[in-house]
Amino acid sequence: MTSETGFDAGKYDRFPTSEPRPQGELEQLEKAWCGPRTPGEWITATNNNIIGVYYVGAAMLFFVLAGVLALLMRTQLALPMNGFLPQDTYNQIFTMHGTVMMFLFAVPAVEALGVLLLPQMLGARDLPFPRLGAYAFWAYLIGGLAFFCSLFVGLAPDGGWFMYPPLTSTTYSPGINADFWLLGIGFIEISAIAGAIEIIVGVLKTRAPGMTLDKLPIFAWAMLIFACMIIIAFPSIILATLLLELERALGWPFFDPLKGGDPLLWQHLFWFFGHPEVYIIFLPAAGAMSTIIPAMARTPLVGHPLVVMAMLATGFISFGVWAHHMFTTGMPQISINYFSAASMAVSVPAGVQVFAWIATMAAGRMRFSTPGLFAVGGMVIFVMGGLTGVMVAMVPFDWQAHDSYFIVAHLHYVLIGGMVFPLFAAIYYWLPMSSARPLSERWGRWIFWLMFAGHNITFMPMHLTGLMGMPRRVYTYLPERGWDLPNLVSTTGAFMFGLAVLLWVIDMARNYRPFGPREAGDVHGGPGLEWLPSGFYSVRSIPVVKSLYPLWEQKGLAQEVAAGRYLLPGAARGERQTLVTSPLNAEPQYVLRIPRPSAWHVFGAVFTAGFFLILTIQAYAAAVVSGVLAVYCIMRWCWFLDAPHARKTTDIGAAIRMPNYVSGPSSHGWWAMVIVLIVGAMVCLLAAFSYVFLWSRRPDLWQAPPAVSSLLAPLGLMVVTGLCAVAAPRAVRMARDGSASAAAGLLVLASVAAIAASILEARAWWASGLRPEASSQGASVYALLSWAGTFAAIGGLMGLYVLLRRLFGRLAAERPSTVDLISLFLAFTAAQAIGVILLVRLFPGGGT
Amino acid sequence: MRRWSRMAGGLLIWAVHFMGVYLISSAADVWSSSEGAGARWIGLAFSLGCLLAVIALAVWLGRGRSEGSGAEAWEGRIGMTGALVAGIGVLWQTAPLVF
Repeated sequence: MTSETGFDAGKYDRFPTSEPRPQGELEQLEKAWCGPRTPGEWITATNNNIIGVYYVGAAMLFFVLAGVLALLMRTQLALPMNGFLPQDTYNQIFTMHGTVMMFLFAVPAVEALGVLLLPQMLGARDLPFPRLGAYAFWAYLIGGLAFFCSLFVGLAPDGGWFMYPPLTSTTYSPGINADFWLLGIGFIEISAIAGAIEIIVGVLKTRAPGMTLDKLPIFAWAMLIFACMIIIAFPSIILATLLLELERALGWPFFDPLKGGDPLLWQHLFWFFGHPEVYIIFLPAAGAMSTIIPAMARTPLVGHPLVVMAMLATGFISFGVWAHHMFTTGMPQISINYFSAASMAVSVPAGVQVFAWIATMAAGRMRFSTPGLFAVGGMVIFVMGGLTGVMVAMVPFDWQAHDSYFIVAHLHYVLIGGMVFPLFAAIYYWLPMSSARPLSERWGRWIFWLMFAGHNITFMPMHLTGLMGMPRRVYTYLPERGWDLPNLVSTTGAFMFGLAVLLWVIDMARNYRPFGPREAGDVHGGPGLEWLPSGFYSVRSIPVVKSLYPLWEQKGLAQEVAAGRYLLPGAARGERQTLVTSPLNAEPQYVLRIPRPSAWHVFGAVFTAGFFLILTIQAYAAAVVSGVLAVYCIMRWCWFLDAPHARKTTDIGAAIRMPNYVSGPSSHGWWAMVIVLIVGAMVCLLAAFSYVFLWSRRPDLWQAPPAVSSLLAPLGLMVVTGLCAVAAPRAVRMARDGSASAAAGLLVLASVAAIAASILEARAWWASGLRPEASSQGASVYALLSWAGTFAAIGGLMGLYVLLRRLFGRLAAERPSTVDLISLFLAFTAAQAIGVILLVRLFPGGGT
Repeated sequence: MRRWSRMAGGLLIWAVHFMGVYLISSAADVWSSSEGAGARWIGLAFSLGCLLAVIALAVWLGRGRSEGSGAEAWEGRIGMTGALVAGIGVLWQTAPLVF
């Protein structure tokens, strides 16, 4: 195998080591990774074992809350002309049910599972950015709870979870209900992206040595693809919510046809996120199924490479199906045909996975304990939902079933079979690892059968009510239309499902009681590293992985790992450390010092949430104060990064020494910054699509751009920004006196030039007479310029930050990471701004 | 990047093809009609280009099959399967242009 880093893989043969471990090594490790000791430390904790449990718990809380809303809806629909809920309240409840399930339960739940399980699965001590993970969690929890509470004051959004304009425009939704959705969800998606960055870098850079891609656990593969999909898909919803909020708050007409806007733009942007979202939810659940079924059947997964390929293919094809939600909108026939073809094709990789699971069960001896039951039950339900999915991929059938209860049945079969049942399987399977106590098997069987029967009794009749013509999203219906009985049956099933969830909540509360034995161990005989003996430090020593199923095939591994006979068995200098490895071959690269808990990320999350929530109620001054405090907290959090190390290298075991610091593309920070910039680029790309799309709707409304002479100054300044950003890393590496100052000076110059260029370009357009509220051209031009300008403003903050670091002596030639990352950001800012300026100036040319 | 290209190259070509034919038909719809012969021929030519790219990728992967072992061989198998999927996918997505 070709080495990626020059590391000699022969050194792996030195492990497990045989010499006795030093006295007190384990105690030092436990001390370095000690858990919270005061109530405050439970809040400032960053360890994935704690944040992961919080995260899963919060997601399940939202599942229960959204489930209660579902029961309220089903009570209302149990009988025709029922008066249980008023129409307005029903609209808020069905909107909140969909929104909470999709945004506050489904995505966070699988992300939470990743945060909880991945470090142990990969043999890492923690994820590489534990404070970012904790920030993402607190932002999600605070934002989510505040968003949900809008229901209690009658301010919850009521335009459906898809929030289509013009229904959600100020004309038809004049209150602030829709603003809660737009700002709340946009903010929560930022939290999801932060989690995705953590997961991508964690999977690619913190694997146990030897864990090459063919030995990467299938769940980690699924989480990697899931996180990459979030990075590509979620910018679309962030942009969509920004544009609609700009239209509602400032009158920028992106979706108003009277001024050249088009409501279909919302549908394109929403579903470019919304349909991949289904697979974003499904893939980690499928990864869990591909882990649980082999463990329960005690045999390797049949067709492992094909399953990996199927997951990759699902990730790609899912981005080619968004418009199948728009078959009835009058799109060109040929485009409809492309999307219909892709919608049928996406069922093939899902089918490959289902066949692999069936073959694995056939090849082994499946144990139908609770995780096995949930896995098989989920598969059955998912296949039924998949089949109706192929039906609605056929355009003529979709025209008939569109917006009927048939679609409600289909989507619940897919989502509950594809995500909820696998999630319950995962909880039953992995809970002994997390809480060191299994859930009750007897209760588990009752819960499974109640849930399985409840699901089918609820949603099976909805196929019929849909085919009999009952539309979605109605709060009541007339009697004598044949819908009475199936609706009553559906309501009965929903309460059965609710009873199952209630029993599960009681069993979970019993499980987490603070007394009684906690020694479950590997109760399912699982083959992955997550079943190694562990503590807050994850594994005692990081093993060398030689198999896809290490606990099955590497005999004695658990004992040797627990005895500290593998890598990084201690906590040198009392630091929290983990090993960073290369992305393909997982060769050791350096030792990462993991930050200890602090309160700054929690305050940062509180004030960030405060900024968005206060903005919703239009208290702008208070929102600005909260925003400034958020920026301050985040800068304080970053202030302690990139600090000096006492030693240059650490002995990771068997006399192998690894550096404590690297910079550039090998460092985990560089990877995270690149992913952040991909998110920014996606938003910009989709904004550019919106610009061209709006032009194509009403080219007659578009005016000529400003004179070409005004183009030179902003372009020139952006080129200066780019050149300074490229030069700064070289300057800091010259390692001479003043090189750090030179780099800081270049970065300050770059950021000032970027801000100046943004102002000049906006002034040129303003002088040309174009106004953002006047037409779709004005709205889209100023939106693109605002996006580029926001990057310039953040670049300005970074310039200030680097200057302060230089003044306080926290910038040094031997630690160039800060300069590298800010340079990368500013170079991207320049490239993005040049692209934006050229697009709005040169397309569509001189106007019509 | 070489090893990532081997693994995901086929699927990337599929994605480029999907976006390409969709954009060609959308652009044609703005200027004249997405159903016109011109747009269909451009779409078919683009599809042929993508199919040739898939074949080239498969040949490259096939030549490298004897090289490497373990993880790299596994990555090659993933890439070859991806190229096969992409080939079928490109043909499937081209069908609306033909019929």
